[in-house]
This record gives sequence, C-alpha cells and structure tokens, in this order.
Amino acid sequence: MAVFKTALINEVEKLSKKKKAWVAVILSLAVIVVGQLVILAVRSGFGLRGVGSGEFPLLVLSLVVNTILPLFAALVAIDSFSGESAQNTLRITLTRPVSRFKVFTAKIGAIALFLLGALVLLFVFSVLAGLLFNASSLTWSDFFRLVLSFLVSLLPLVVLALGIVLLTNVARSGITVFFLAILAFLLLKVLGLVFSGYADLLPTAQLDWYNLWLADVFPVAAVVRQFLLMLGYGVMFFVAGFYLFDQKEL
Amino acid sequence: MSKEQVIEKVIELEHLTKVYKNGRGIDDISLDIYRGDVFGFLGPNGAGKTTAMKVMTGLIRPDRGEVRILGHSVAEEYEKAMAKVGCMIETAESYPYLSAFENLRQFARYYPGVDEKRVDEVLELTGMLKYKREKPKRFSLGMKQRLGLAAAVLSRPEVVILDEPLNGLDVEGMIAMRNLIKGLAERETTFFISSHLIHDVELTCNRIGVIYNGRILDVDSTANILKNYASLENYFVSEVEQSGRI
Amino acid sequence: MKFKKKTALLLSFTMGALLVATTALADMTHKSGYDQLKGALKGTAAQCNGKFDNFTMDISYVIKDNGKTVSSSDTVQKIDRKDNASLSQTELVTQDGGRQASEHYADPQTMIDHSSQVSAYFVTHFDPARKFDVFSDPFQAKGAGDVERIVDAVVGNLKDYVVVKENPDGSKEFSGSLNETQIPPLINALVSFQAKQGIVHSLPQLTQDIFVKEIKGNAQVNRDGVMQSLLGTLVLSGKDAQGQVHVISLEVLAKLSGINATQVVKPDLSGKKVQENTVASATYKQQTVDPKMFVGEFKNDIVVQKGGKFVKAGVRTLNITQADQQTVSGQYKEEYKPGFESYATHKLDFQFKAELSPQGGQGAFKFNAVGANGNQISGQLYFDPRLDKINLVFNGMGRMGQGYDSTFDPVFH
Repeated sequence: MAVFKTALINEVEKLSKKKKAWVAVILSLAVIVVGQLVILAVRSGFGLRGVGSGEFPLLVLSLVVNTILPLFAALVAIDSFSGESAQNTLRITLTRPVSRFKVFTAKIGAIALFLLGALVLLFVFSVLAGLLFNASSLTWSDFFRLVLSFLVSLLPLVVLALGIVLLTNVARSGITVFFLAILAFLLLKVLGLVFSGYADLLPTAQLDWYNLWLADVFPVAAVVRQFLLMLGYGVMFFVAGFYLFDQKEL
Repeated sequence: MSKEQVIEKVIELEHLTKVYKNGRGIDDISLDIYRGDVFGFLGPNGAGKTTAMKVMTGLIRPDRGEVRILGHSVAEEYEKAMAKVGCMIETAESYPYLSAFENLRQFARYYPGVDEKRVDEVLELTGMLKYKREKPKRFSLGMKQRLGLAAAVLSRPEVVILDEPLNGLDVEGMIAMRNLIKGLAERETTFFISSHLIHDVELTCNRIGVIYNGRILDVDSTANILKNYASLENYFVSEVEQSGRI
Repeated sequence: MKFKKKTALLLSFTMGALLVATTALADMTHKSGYDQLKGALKGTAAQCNGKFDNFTMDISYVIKDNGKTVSSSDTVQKIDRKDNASLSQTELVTQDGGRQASEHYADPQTMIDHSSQVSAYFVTHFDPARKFDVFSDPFQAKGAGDVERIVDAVVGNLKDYVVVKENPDGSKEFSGSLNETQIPPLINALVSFQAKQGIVHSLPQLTQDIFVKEIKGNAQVNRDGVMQSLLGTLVLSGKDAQGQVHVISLEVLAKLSGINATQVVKPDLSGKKVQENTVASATYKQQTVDPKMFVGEFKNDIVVQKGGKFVKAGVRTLNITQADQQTVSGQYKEEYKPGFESYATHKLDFQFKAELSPQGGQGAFKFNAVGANGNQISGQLYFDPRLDKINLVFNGMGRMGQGYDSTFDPVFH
C-alpha cells in the first residue's frame, strides 16, 4: 500500500506540473464565465430568466460533462500513458521497486483525482457565479443536490477515462488515440441517438446520470442498473487496459 | 560457513531467451554475477546487450528463462527483486517538465531511507548540484546522462545496472564516472555495465562477459584475460573470430 | 504465481462482461416509466386507428394568470370510423367571460361549419366524394420516427422521472413532474422563449425573468392499455413591465371515452340559415386561369378616416393592357380627389410588365417597375380563378401605405 501511495503521489505531482493541467483549469473557468455572460445576455435580450442561482451550476455541469470533462479525461490519460511511453519516461518509473499493477492503478488514480479536482473547481466557481449573478436564493437542499450531482458525475467520467486508457494501450501514438477516442465518443453518441431505445447501455450514456439523482421519487432501480453497468464497463476497461500495459515491452 | 567462503550470487540469468520478430535478440544466456563484481558486458552494437538488460530489469518479458536478483525472481517478485537495484537502461531519461531535484525526489519516494539530503548528495556526486532547480529539457546529453546516473545510485543500491553509462560524456565526465563506479564498488556495490568501449571496460571492470549475436561467448576475470592477451581488445577480437569460424 | 495472475485477470474481465450483459438484459426487459408511457400512447393511437369503430376525444385547456382563469377551451370530438364521420364541438371562453361555440362536421361528402358569432351554417358538398380519413395514427405519420428519436434524446436521463403505479386491476397510473432545477436549463430557456412568443399574447406582457417553474403530468391507462386521460401542466413565471410577478399555468387535458359507444350525428339543418357551396373536385384541383379574361380596367377606392367617418379620398386604378399565360403588362395609378391631396404621401403611378411567378403557382405574376418619381417598386399580381378580381400586393409594407386595399374589382363599361 505504501508503494501504491508513493506511485500515486508521484503521478499526481507529475500531472500538477504539466501545463495541460493548468490549461484545463483555465478552460473550466472560461466555461463558467462564458456561460454566465450568455445567461446575462439572454436575460437582458429576451427577458428570459435563463437560470436561477440553483440551476446555474447544473447548466454548467450539463455542458461540461459531455464536452470538456471527457476531453480532459482523454488529454490526461493520453499524456500519462501514450506520452510517457513515447518519451521513454515510463521506463524510469517501471524500473523502480513498484509493480506494473501499482503504476497502472496509480496513474488511473491520478486521472480520477484530476477529474475530481476539475469537478470541484467547476462546482465552487459555478456556485459562486450563480450566487453573484442570478436571482433567487439557494436553499440548503438545492446545495446538497448540487454537491451530489457533481460528485456522482465523477464515476461515468472515470469509466470513460478507463476506456481511453485502454485505447492508449492498444494504439501506440497519442494522436491516434486522441482521434480514435473522439471518433468513438461521437460514434457512441450517434448510436445512442439512432437506437434511442438502447442508448442507456452505451458507456457514454451515463455521463449525465446525475439527473437520476435529482428526481423527486428516487429511481432506485435505474440508479442501481446504471451503476452496475458502469462498474461492468469499468472493470472490463481496467482489466483489458492493465493486461496490455503489463505485456508492454519498453 | 563463514561469509567469506561462500561467494554470494547477486544476479542470476538462467537460459534467458528473447527473440524479436526481426530475428534479433538473445539466445539462451546464462550468467552469474557475484557480490562485488564490476561486470563488463561487452559486445558490438546490436549484439543483444540492451535486450538482456531490459529483461533483467523487467521491461521485457523473456520468451524463456529466468532472472533472479538477490534471490528474487524479476518476473514474479518484481518489487523485492528491484528493491536494492539502481539502473539506467538504453538512454538516460528524465521528466522534462520536472526539475532535476524533482525528478530525483520522485524516485526517492520509493525507498524508505532516501530523503532529500540524499538527493542533494547524489546531485553533488554527479556534479549536477548546480543544476538542481533546472528542468532537463535544456540539458545536454551529458548532463542528462549524469542525472540518469544520479537516479541509478540514488537509493544506495546493492546492485547497479548501467547500459552504456559513458554515452555522451566528455573526457572529464568519463573519468569522473569511472571514479564514481570504482568508489561505489569498493563499498561492495555490484555493477553490471554494458559498453561497446573496450578500453573503458578494461579500465573499469573486474569481470568481463562477451556477447555476440545474442549469445555469451565467454566470461572471465579481467586479470585472467590480461594474463593471456596483450589487451582486452585482442581478447575480444579473438573471441569474436572464434565464434565466427564456428 | 504467473498462472494465478492471468486467471485473476481473465476472471475479473469475465465478471465485468457478465455484469454489463446481465444489466443490459435487465435494462432491456425493464421499461422505464417514460417508455411505458410512450408504449401506452402508441398502443392507444393504434387501437383508435384499428380496433375501435368509434370513440370520443375531449381535449380542453385552461390558462390561468395568478390563479385567475384567462382563457379556456373545450373541444369534444366524436369520431366514427365505420361511417367515416366526425363531429367536433368547441367552446372557448375568453378573458372577459365571453363564450364562443363552434361546430364542425365532416364526412366524405359533406363539411358543415357553424360558429356562434355567425347565424348561418356553412355547408360544403363534395361531388364526387373526397378522400377523407376521419382519424389517422400520428405515430404512423411520416417523420414520426425521427421526432420520437429526438424526443428520446432530449428526455435522456429524465426517463425515470415518469413514475408508474400499477393497480391490482391491471390499470396503470403515470405521473411525473419536473421543477425548475430538474428541467434542463436549455429546454427551460427554449420553452420560456416559445411561451413568450406564443401563448402569452392574450396575457399580461411578460418582459423579464421568464422561466418555466414546473412541468408535470399524469395519465391513466386502463387494463386494456387504453389511455383514458392525459393531463399536462406547464407553469411559467415572469414579471411584467411594472415588475409584477405573474405565475401563468397552462393545463391541457385529453380524455378518451365512449369507445364503441359514440354516435356521430350530422347537425340538423332544418329551419336553419344555410349557405351552400359545392366543390366539384375532391382535392381542390386548381382551376385554370385564363389571364386574357383579365384584360381591362380594375378599380378600388382609396378610403380614409376623417372626422370619425370613412370617406372616399380617391381611386386606385389597375389597367391590364396585355395578358397571356407568361406575361402581364399594364399600368397602376392612384388619384386623389381635390381636398385629399395631403393624404397622397405614397401616391404611386407606374407602368409594369409582370412575369409568371414560378413559386406563386397559376395566376401569380411578379413585377419590378420604376415609379413616376423614379423609385423602385416590386410586387405580385394574383388573378383569382373563381372571381373576376385581381389582388395587387407590393413588396415592402411601407409602399402600400395605411389602409391599402389589395383587391381590385373590374370596371364594367
């Protein structure tokens, strides 16, 4: 466990020292600023309220969970696997007294922490922006629901990241993986549209499953089903990704 | 039995075979390296030196055979096998976006007894202390090589595996490196060094193995070799010629 | 050891795959409330289109502003598929309490329209009988599948917001509601915008902070899978120019009853004032226009309001000098009577040559001309095939001036 912790600390340190991580932070803040500006424009232009303070963070979440967060997941996963593999820096980690399983898991842990960080950042700033610029008060129950929505969104994002990690271990070049990931993402979204009856089963369908958590009558069965589905996909992606990572010749 | 009587095997290679798709690789390599050895792994480019070392450090799985370091199988008990090993394989790499110090601190975290003071120590030892806060993306090949060596010896390892450690070093650097290796060897550190520089191996190593076309031709002590041959170069040429005739 | 690791990996992967597969199966056999509701709607529509000989649909809506009814309407439509006849009766209540009733009867041979504001019954006879479907399944309509997919995509993870209650007798009750935080913000904005444009015109003009406060609905489905009632409510909030908050609710209720027990009775016209009209062709085939018939002078009066009265201020003259199937030429001029010169701000006088307008269909010609004062004028001429009247419309409302009358009557000498 100590070795895993070390590996995780190392991965997080590396991630935090990369420019990409900071680009992601700035991009997240930009989404909030632009979103709020659009709301203000809609409000004064069309007389629509747009959103109340309780809904602004949800508006932000609904936007980012299908766009920039999957993008961050892809960028970070590709950097951590394809990037290090291409720069031969994976070798200097792997020749330390740490098993490949721990390195693999630590890398995924770091990606998950990064996504969690992005969600927390988006949460804090969208709540602040919501309170500052949008009328109507934010009740504690609203606040709790917001926290819940942002937190549960981590799971589908991590599953998505695991899928991309699998891709990074299939294809060699980071750029190939990036385009494959985007293509696969769009393809799954289109498939979800065409076969709308089965859309729930695709690994991209759960990205906005936070909606389930907001229902008045909590849809236990649906939440459990989606959770198990994500768990299943996650395990498959993880195992397949690790198998390839473990076989890798460096 | 007293310790002096039993010569401890530090690295054991047993029937190690790894063939790449292009037909190159290593074929049935068996070797024992003993505590205190400064083993020179001598062979021309493409002879299989790097492949052997990658298999030894777990970067590549062998098709057949096994490697044990300090009694632990690399394939099955990787963490134990590598606990007291420092290595530098193929090229000296470092994270370009971390400073020299941060690079070393990353590795230091894996060893309980290695703290930031030790990081400074190895930076001093390799002459890199003044570049402590700089990022390796601006480093020359030689500086990267020094940083790689610092990383290899950081954990006060009992076994050091170095692949072409003198690559990119200037004369001054080579001399410093040789002294560093000798200094550590005196403190019972076992070295496994590959090189294609015969003269350098002659000066640094006390045991020598010649690898050619993926096979070990001969293993002998430097002293023995120099008894029978005028120089290591003569020995090497004769070994390779013999192998060619067969 | 090595064997163990591979086995563990294989086992975990298989477990993951099994988990996905079983959940997927469960997901496919389990239908969300939304899917069940959709199924019930489709089933009901299909039965209405196939199984039932006759039935009654009752569709009503109520719009309330801060709890006070602003407008309401109730339409009872009786449909008899066997006799291919339908009768719908609508009652509309306006804000001032005024009531308007209207009636519409249709079968392949006849169409009868009546409204409480006009005493006469308008009867249209179709001879030969037209092609007429008294009811068609909306889910079978062209493009319905695409609409369904789009709706599915929009609904997305809100599917489970529809709650189903199954009663012991096999009937089902659906209910669902979305409050302002649950409605996706984009949908909220779109609906608010649409609402602002649409239903709100008879209501206080909302100018700011408009948003959808709540969307809710419920439905009853009997044990035969027939949806007997469907109630939807949309609650909108907004402020008017004075900053007064208005909560506007729109309730729509649809009921299905009288299955195989509905009789469609043709309105009894005896003793009623009737205006009859016969349409020869079932599909309103366009009558041919012979533009030559329109050569000659057409006029209408320039009428202005003066001293609380309508007064004739002059004459618009449209003189068609030449006309065939492709081109029409002539002259247009406006003449004001002495003492009304001050009204002649838009006085026009120009020659034109118009060409058949491909988009306008038969009898439509468009022209570009230059007026007496040198400005560009463009517009369209329409020859009415049934009446000897010409419609002249200018592009750009400003050209026409206030009180412009586009219908020109022939001058018989």
